[in-house]
Amino acid sequence: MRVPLARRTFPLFAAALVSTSLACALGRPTPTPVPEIDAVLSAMGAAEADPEAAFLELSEAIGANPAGVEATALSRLEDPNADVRLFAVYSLAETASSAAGMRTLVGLLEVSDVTERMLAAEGLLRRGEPEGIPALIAALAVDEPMRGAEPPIQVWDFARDLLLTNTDQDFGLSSAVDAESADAARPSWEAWWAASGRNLTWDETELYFRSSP
Amino acid sequence: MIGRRAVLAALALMAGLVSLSAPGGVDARRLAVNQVERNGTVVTITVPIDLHVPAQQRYRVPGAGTTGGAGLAAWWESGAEAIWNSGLSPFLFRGCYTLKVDIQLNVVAADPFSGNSDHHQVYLRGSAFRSKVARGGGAGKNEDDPNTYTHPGLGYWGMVGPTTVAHEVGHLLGLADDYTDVKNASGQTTGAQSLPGREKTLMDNYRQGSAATWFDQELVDRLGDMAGIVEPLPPCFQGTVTLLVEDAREGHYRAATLDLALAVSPNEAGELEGLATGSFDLSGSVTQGGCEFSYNGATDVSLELTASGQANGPYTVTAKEEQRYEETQRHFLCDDPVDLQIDWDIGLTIEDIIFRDREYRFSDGSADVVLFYSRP
Repeated sequence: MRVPLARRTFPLFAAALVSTSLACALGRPTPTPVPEIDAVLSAMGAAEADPEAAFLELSEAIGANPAGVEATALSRLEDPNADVRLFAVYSLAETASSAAGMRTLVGLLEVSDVTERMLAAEGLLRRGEPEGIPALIAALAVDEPMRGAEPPIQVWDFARDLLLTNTDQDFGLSSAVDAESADAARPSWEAWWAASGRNLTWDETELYFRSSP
Repeated sequence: MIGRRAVLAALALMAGLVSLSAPGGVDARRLAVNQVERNGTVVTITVPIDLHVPAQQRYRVPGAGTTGGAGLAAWWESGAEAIWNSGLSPFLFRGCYTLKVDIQLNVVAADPFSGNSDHHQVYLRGSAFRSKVARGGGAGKNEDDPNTYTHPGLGYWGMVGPTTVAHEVGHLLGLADDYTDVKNASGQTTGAQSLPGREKTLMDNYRQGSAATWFDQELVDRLGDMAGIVEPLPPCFQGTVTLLVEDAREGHYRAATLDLALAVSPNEAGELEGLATGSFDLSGSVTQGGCEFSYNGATDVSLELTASGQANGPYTVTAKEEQRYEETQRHFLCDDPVDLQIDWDIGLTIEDIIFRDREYRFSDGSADVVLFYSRP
């Protein structure tokens, strides 16, 4: 299931590795799952819990203790409860900064749940890692809801926004109004990825992947 | 002299009073967050939001390259405000009020200690997957709640576009989601389902619609109801009324029709005033000694109005002064010339106007008539 990181992988990852090494060298503890955050993730999937309140707690924790959220999310990715798993992926995509977290995001591009794949791809793109682009291109044909999204959004629409925002390409995608018209642009995107995917550079100033001339 | 003075008046039967229920209650807490200001028939709701942004963070704004937090806030504020105000503009609340939204998005430091305690607090998150607002009043996901007019809301917004921001601002305006979560047999979320009649509106799954579907009268009424709790809105009426008087006596048949467009709204002192303008048309025939002639007359009408009443009614609308219509016409009864003197006093009284079913209505005695309601 795991996909090795591409050679072009990002300064952030390198920084994370250095940071981890320093932490070990200095004897700082490696982040471990936080029981309170673990309880919040459990509440996201519990029928008797208030998922709205749980999500607000999770959002607050993402800002206050991202390392703790990342460690906790990594421990819940195989949870049998689909909602717990979903919000573990969401949490990881929001907070991943460790090598393990980044590797796991790449691996999540292969899971069966399309919403989880989209969240992993988004998390990678936001960190300058283009590995998620093929998953987004493939999702242009998927006319089903991103489960748990607020406000609601279809998978193809979510993928479209990410591709248009994070690359310098369009191929008619910006005018797509449904999955069918988005899917019509897919072959051009696939051809672009096949031709240029290995040569993309992350423009740190403009915050998007620049195709090589 | 053939003509006689007459006063046109519509006297109506009392219609049943149905009170308008407010969505939730408001206690005596101070007004501190959303501000509601009425200027004539324009009601502006100001939504102050502190956007907590990490220092030095850059954001990509379509069409504008990259920007800092201030640029992101400006993009969101102008975009969302345009969506709200262009969407609201074709609709009237209670038949005459135009609602406007003034979004004030202030950039503050990322820490939770920054910001104004009388503003809504919104924190940025990276994913566009989820943006949320907690309104804090305890209302359910699909229940409107005016709590955000008196207590700051809390939001976590992802890297989204202005339309999603407009949806989230809707929550800060007290509006609920117009969709429910769909769950499978195991209780796990699989998607979302629009509430009946709310499909493709702004607080529903707006991405499946367009600017043309995002706003409707129901959304405007719900927003106006909450604004009206904070700033009680005096009634105002507008619409058209047609009144007919017809009689025949002593060989004189006559029919008079008064067609008026009227608008009544509160003045600066809060008193109801207005104007009715239109036309008065007269026709008739006179028969005497086996001879007959017919006549017609018409004049423009402009009546200053006053109105009285409270809450949902009943209200009475009355012309401050009657308008006189005088005219002398030369006619012939067989070969004898006669001068017809037309002399009418034109007035207007409409009683028992009741606000119910979100419209101002009165009854003409046989059927309910909606006269004071404008649709786009």
